[in-house]
Amino acid sequence: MSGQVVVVTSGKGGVGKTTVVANIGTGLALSGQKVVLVDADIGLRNLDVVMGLENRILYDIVDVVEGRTEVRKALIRDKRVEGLSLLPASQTRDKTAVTEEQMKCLCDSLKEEFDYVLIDCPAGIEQGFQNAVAGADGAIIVSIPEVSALRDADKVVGLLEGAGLTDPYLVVNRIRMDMVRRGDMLDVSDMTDILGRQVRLLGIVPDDQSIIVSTNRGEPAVLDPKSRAGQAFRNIVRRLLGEEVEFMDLNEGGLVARLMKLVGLAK
Amino acid sequence: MEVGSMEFRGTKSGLLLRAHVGSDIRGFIDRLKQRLSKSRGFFSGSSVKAQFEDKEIPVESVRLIVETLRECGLELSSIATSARPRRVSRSGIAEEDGLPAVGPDECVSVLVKRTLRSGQRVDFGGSVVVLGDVNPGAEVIAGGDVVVMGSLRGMAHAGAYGDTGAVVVAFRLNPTQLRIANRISRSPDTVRTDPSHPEIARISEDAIVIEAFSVPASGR
Repeated sequence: MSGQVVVVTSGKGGVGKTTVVANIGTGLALSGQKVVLVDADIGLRNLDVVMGLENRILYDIVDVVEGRTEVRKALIRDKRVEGLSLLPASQTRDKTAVTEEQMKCLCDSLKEEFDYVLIDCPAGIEQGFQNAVAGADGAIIVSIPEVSALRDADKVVGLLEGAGLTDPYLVVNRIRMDMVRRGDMLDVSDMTDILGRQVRLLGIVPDDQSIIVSTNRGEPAVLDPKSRAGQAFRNIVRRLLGEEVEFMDLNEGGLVARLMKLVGLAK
Repeated sequence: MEVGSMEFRGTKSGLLLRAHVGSDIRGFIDRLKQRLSKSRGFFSGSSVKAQFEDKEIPVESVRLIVETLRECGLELSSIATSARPRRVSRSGIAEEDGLPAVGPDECVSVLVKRTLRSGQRVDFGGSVVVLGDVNPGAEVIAGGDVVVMGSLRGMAHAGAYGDTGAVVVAFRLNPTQLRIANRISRSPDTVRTDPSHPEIARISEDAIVIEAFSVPASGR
């Protein structure tokens, strides 16, 4: 069996790469896939916190590549979802602790056992980025509807092309339709225009305060049936698995509008 | 340097041909052929920068030199002259500090068959044609014209070595900045709506102007 290694990257920091990895990974596992999440952000370990698994770390990725332990022992099995594992980053070392060859080797061995290897790429385009993409078969680019994030995403598409990763997926994160309607925020079509047709739109995730809560609690939003962002991530997972899923109608308004609709004051 | 003389020198960035061509181009070409045939295998396959001591050098002479070099397996990568920078015509050559110069008009243009993304840059002595978009953060620098068969949203510099007759044409012209020769213009700070037709930018009365692109009438 050989799975897929997918790197989740953005260039810019703070656009939600780690959240996207946690949610897509959890969603894939819920759909019965065997998934391992690899935190490649060595020195700035986050994915374990977002997954709520921080207190279970015994070994990390640097221990594995330096041969102090087997991969199997370093993997942390998720407490809620069957078939989901995490390989945490080291917090005490830095990006130079791992080489591209070591990453490639690690990815190759992980995809023997898992259907999906999701790599959480660090921000930036330096060594950490090069390491994270070294063993990847595909890429998901995360961007938010801001010009600066889009600029960096475009740069990353170019760099990925150079690394042989053509046709990446795009996840537009934290969109606010009320602002888009007022013309205060980039629309998804503005973004796909710039990035071009090689980039395939995988999903649009609405800005959702519940994400902050779920991130702090270590419970990915995809597990919460009421979360709109969670719904968006569930759709992304279905699309990754080859289903045709329509994009969510993000235009329904906020709580007030929905209440008004409920009592018949608005359509 | 003596008129009619030449020397090859190895530099860090490759082979350098220094020469003072003079008025006897035929004689110069013969001597160049002799020199290259003497050391055939040695130079073959390398790229060479040419540096001419002449104050002025006719395009035809440059073409002959380029052809001779090519016959002997050498590719000319750039041309420099010791002439002071000056306004150059489309087919002229003016250069300083070893930057690639405008080559003979007819033989230099490059086709870029992809979209240029943020951080990517094309820098060429002749004209550049892009079959794709030029995204924000990407740069196209050309000694001649710049033609973009898509959206130009990044930076384009036409006539980078002083050719004020150079133009920038794009299917959708919406650049962050435009430069032609030594003129610079930037996009307005207010949001410009996307143009809906091809446009051309050129220098007119000392400023860069943009107008709708239409096919020039024949015989112009």
